[in-house]
Formats: sequence, structure tokens, C-alpha cells
Amino acid sequence: MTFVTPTPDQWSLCRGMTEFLAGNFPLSRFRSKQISEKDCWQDLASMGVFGISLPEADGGMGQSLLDDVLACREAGRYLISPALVGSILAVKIAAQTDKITLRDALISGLSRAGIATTAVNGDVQIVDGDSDGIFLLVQADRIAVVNSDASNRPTLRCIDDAVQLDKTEIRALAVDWLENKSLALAAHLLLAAMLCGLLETICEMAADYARTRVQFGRPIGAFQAIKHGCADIALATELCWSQTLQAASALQSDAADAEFHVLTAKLLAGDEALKAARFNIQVHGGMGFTDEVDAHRMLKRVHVLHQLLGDPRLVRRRLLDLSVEII
Amino acid sequence: MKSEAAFQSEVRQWLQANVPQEPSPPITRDGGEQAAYLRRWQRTLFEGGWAGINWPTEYGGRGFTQREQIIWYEEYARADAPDMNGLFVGMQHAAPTLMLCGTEEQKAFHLSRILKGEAIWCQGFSESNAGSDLANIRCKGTVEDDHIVVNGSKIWTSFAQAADYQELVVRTDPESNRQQGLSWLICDMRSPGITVRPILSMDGEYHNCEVFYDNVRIPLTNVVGALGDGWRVSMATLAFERGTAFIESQMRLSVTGGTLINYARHAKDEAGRPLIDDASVAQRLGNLRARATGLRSMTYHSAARAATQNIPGPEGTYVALMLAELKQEVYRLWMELLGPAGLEYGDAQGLAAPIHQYLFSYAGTIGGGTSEIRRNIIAERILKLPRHDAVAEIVA
Repeated sequence: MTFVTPTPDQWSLCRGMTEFLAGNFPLSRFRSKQISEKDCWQDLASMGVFGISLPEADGGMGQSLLDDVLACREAGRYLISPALVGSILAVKIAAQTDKITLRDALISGLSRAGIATTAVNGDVQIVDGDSDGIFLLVQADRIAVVNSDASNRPTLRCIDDAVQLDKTEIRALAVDWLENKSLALAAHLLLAAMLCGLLETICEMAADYARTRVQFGRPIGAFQAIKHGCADIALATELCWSQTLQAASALQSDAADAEFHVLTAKLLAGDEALKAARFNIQVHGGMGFTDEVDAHRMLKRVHVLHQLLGDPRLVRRRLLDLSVEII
Repeated sequence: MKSEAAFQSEVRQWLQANVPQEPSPPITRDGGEQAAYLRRWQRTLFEGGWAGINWPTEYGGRGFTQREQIIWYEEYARADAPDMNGLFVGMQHAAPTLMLCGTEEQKAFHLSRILKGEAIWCQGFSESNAGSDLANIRCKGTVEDDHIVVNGSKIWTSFAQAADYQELVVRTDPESNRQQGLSWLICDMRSPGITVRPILSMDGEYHNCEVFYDNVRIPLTNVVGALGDGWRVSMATLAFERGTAFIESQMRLSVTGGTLINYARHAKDEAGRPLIDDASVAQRLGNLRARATGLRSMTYHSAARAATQNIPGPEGTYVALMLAELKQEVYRLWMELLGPAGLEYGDAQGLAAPIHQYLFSYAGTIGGGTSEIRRNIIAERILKLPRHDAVAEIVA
């Protein structure tokens, strides 16, 4: 049993990241449509986020996986594209396979790597794969950066219009698989971390509104139907973050139950964030149903993150098949 | 320091050799058999050097680190060692409260008796009109010379029929209301004037009692903390309960979840297929497994935080709330998988154990703070939402 919690130094790095994101990627960007995240990708790179746990010799910051987790959690708060996870992992793969040009392009934010869902009937969906066609593909214990021709791929309308979605036949791709279970699991873990950040934002948003919106002469948060739903979101936020830390601890120490903990972290965070996002819309009443309040964006982003890398239905089954010690 | 693996194997070997073979007897009207069983087990733990693992060494405990405690409880649950419910109040409530707020004399007299299994404690907080609304306590204590004379009643007192002492909270200032004017007393359950009425619970055992006090004289030297400071002392007590004290039942739930999954693998449906092959069963089991794992991680996380604070914060409420609800979910699914066999209650042992546990699990979301109160605590203390009784005040 190892359980690693962030050190004060790690937390303070994390606060720096939050300030940067709050200044450069405020949630209001979705409504003003003034900031295109893709255009600001190099600003993210300036924080070094794509090479946090990459060895310094490879151009990274030489930090730990837990630092990646913290960064992704903060990014999740501000609904940064899941291409962040795609790019962090793609950098590692490029470094390991000596694709120096690709590695440097990703670290500097000149390129970014999208991230794919699992294949259904031979097709994969790609989230935020840009025109240069780079995206991360994960299949069980193997992982690949696909560098494909995206020019003739039609863009689909995504449930979450803040990300780009397209689709391709997996057969048509030349995939250079890397057998690396740790990296494959790290991709799941970082998505779980993004969901944890999103949960934090949802929790704050629901509680803020419950404290300030007045009906029947009192803040609606005084009503237990609202209050208890908010309490459930707070619990979910703590639950998922704890499991994500547990998963990071297991993966960092290469523990035998790393896969179990990582998949659990991702599944839990997706399931719980979905419930939380639903309730947040409900708390906001009529405004929650509009495009003018961000509640719907959070719900939609959860749907995207929940589906990436593994259909939750299959993950639940997998958790039963994984033989772990009962304790 | 011993390596973790060495420590774990030492714990495992000791438990293997010492955990009693016979199951814990049911809690009857007089509670005698269960009490004797618990005293024996606590004595065994004490003699083996395993009593009070989270107690500081100055009080005769082992002063284990959080990690060691967790390993202990993991092994404890794995070995299916006796449920410590009846000793919970003494070990995890009264003792920590005495350590924090008690006098040297109180500590010297009581702590070693609790540790050796010589004294069983019960709680005396709730009343029929002060359950969720604990500050509404009416049970009266009148100071007469060097004694407090107690009149009134308490209810939901677990194991009062067999307890030696009680942590009793009474209103010592008749002019006071709500949180003011309460005092926390050590009550000898054999004092003249005490009547205990055991209450039959829905699972067929006598878990709770009603306790009546008719001019019960308690020496002033039995006040813990200051006279009139009972609310603060009680809150310290409850904070312990909401903190790491749940690790044992938490670990037990993990084992139960695993047992249920194994059951679903081996039990067959009407067509002879393993129940787990039913997709809806598998989905729900997968869900439960994920949630039980997350809960355990939350316990580890909370323990890591508690290690840096003297009294656990309100985050412990997360664990208490989820533990009680998840336990019910596990046993509900178990009943569903049992199908018609779930009607055969039998003797509450062996195969019928899940049925018994299913019925008992209803207590979890009520006792020690209902789930509703726990959600209020989370919303009001952590999220800073307005208090729920603001509504009542406006309506009144």
C-alpha cells in the first residue's frame, strides 16, 4: 500500500498553473469566443506542460507523473482540450522512439496530438486531432502516436462544440504500436485527472449558485433538496481525487494493481462527473438549460472525456475480470 | 523500523493463530454472551500486544502510524476477526475523549480498563427528542454539593444492557438551551436509579436500549472537561468517530464486496449460467467494485490528512456517509442475487449472514448521524451553504 500525496512544492507549482490558466483561458472564453484554445496552444507550452515528466535530457522538466496529474487536473478545471493528454503522452512516445522533430514540435506547442476513442466496428473517433493529423491511440497495453493524413477526413458535429471531432477507419492507418502498458495507463490516468478538475469546477459552480440565488426569500442552498445534491458533488470530488491519487501512486511505483486502480479512477471520475454535471444544470434551473450558462459545457465535456480511451461499459466488465487481491 | 512487509506478515500470523473460531454470538436482551466474547477477545488482543493500535504509547497503546493501522485493519478484515462494534464506544470514543479532555485521575482509572477489555462503554448522547437535533438535549443534571443528580432518559444507546460505563451528556444549566449548559459525564452503569430497557431491532438483535435515570448521583469528579463545556467535548468525540475510526468497517466492506463478486461467479441462474454472465449484474458489480475501491482510497487519503491534524476535520463525514450507503447497496444487490433463497433467514450465521447483514445495514444511514444530517454537515461546513434551520426559523 503506497499512497502519495502532493508535496507543498508540488502544490505551489500547481497554483502557478491555476493562475496562468485563469488569466489566459478563463471559462468566459467560450461565450466571448474571443480566444481560440488552439491558437493559444503555444502559451500552454510556455508553461512547460507538455514535458513536465519528460527527462531533462529529452527537453522536459524531469518531474514526476504526479506532477502531470496535478497539471491535468488544473487544466480540467478550465476545460482545456483533452489534446493536452494526447500531447503529453505523444511527447513521451516520440522521445522513446527517437522522433526528435515530432517531440520538439509537440513540446513547443507548434503541433498538438488529439486523442481517440476505442474502435467500434473498425472506426475510431478523434477528438481535437488537427489538420496535421497527429493523434494518440491506445489499445489495451499498447499505445501509438498516429501521424495520418487528415485532409480528406470530414469533421463531424460533436456534442461538445468546443472540441473538434472526426472519424477514421483504423485499417486505413499505418499504426506503429509501442507495447508499453505504463504509458497506456498513464493516458487513462491523466484523463481521470482532467475529470477531477472538472468536478472541482462543477462543485464550485453549483455551490456558488446555491449560496447566491434567492427564491422564496432565501438562498436556494438552504433547501435540503439542493443542499444534499451539492453535498453529493463535494463527496464525489473527494472520492475521485482520492482514487486518482491512489492510481498515480500505484502507477508510479509500478505496483501489480496499477491497472486496476487506474481504470477505476477513470471510470469513477467519468461516472461521478456525469452525475455532478447533471445536477449542476438542475441547480441552475431554467438558466441551466441555456447556452448562456456554462453548465451544459461541463456536461458535454464530461461525455467526451468519459468515452475517450475506453467505453465505460467495457471498463466495468474489465474491473471484474482483473484479478486483484480482495484487499 | 521494521519493513512494511515484515510488519504485515507478523500481523497476519498473529491473527491466524488467535482469531476465535466460533462466530460472535448475537446480541441478546441481556447481552451477556456477546459481552463475554468481546471481553475475551479484547484481552487476547491486549496480551498479544495488539490492543489500542491507534492509542499513544503513554496510555498503553501501540501508537502505530496511520500506515501501520491501515495494514492492521486490512489484515484484520481479511482474517474475518471479530467485529468490534460493542467495544467501539470505549476504544474509539470515550478513550480518545478522555485523553484529550480528561483529568489525570480519570485517565489513570479508565484507560487501562478499556484497553484490557475490563470495561465496556456505551454512549449517552441521543434522546427521543434529541437525535438528529442533538443540541435539543433535555436530560437534566442538578449540582448538589459534590454530585450531579441526573433525571431523564436517553435512547439508541448501543449495548447499554452490558456496559460498565457510559459517556453521558446532560443539561447541567437549567436556564441554558441548545449547545450551552451541557456537561459530559462518566456514568457508572451500576449506579442506583438506572433502568435499562433493551429495544428489539429489525434484524432480531437487541442493538439499542433506552436508559432511564431516576435521581442518579454522579460525582463531580466524573465531569470530563469543564462543567457546561459538554458540547465542545462531545464534538471532539464525534470528530474522532467521523475520522479514522471507520477504517475497520471500511476494510470489512472491501472484503464483503469481493465475496459478493465471488458469489456471483459461482452461483447459477435458472438456466445454469453463472449470475455474473448476466450483463446487468456484471455492470452493477463493476460499479460497486469501483466505488468500494474509491472509498478505500478516500480512507487512505483522509488518514494521510488526519496524520497531520489532532482532530480529524469534517472530511471524515465523506467516508462515514459513503460507507453506510455503499454497504446498503452491496447487501441490496446480494439479496437480489440470492433471489428466493433470500427468504430463508435461518440462524443468521453461515449462508444467512448476508441476509442478517442486509437487515443490519439499515442502521448505518441512521445511527451516529443520519445520511441527511451528514449531507447537511458537508454542505454547511465544507461548501458553506446556508444552514438548513434558517428555513424553519423563517417559517416559524
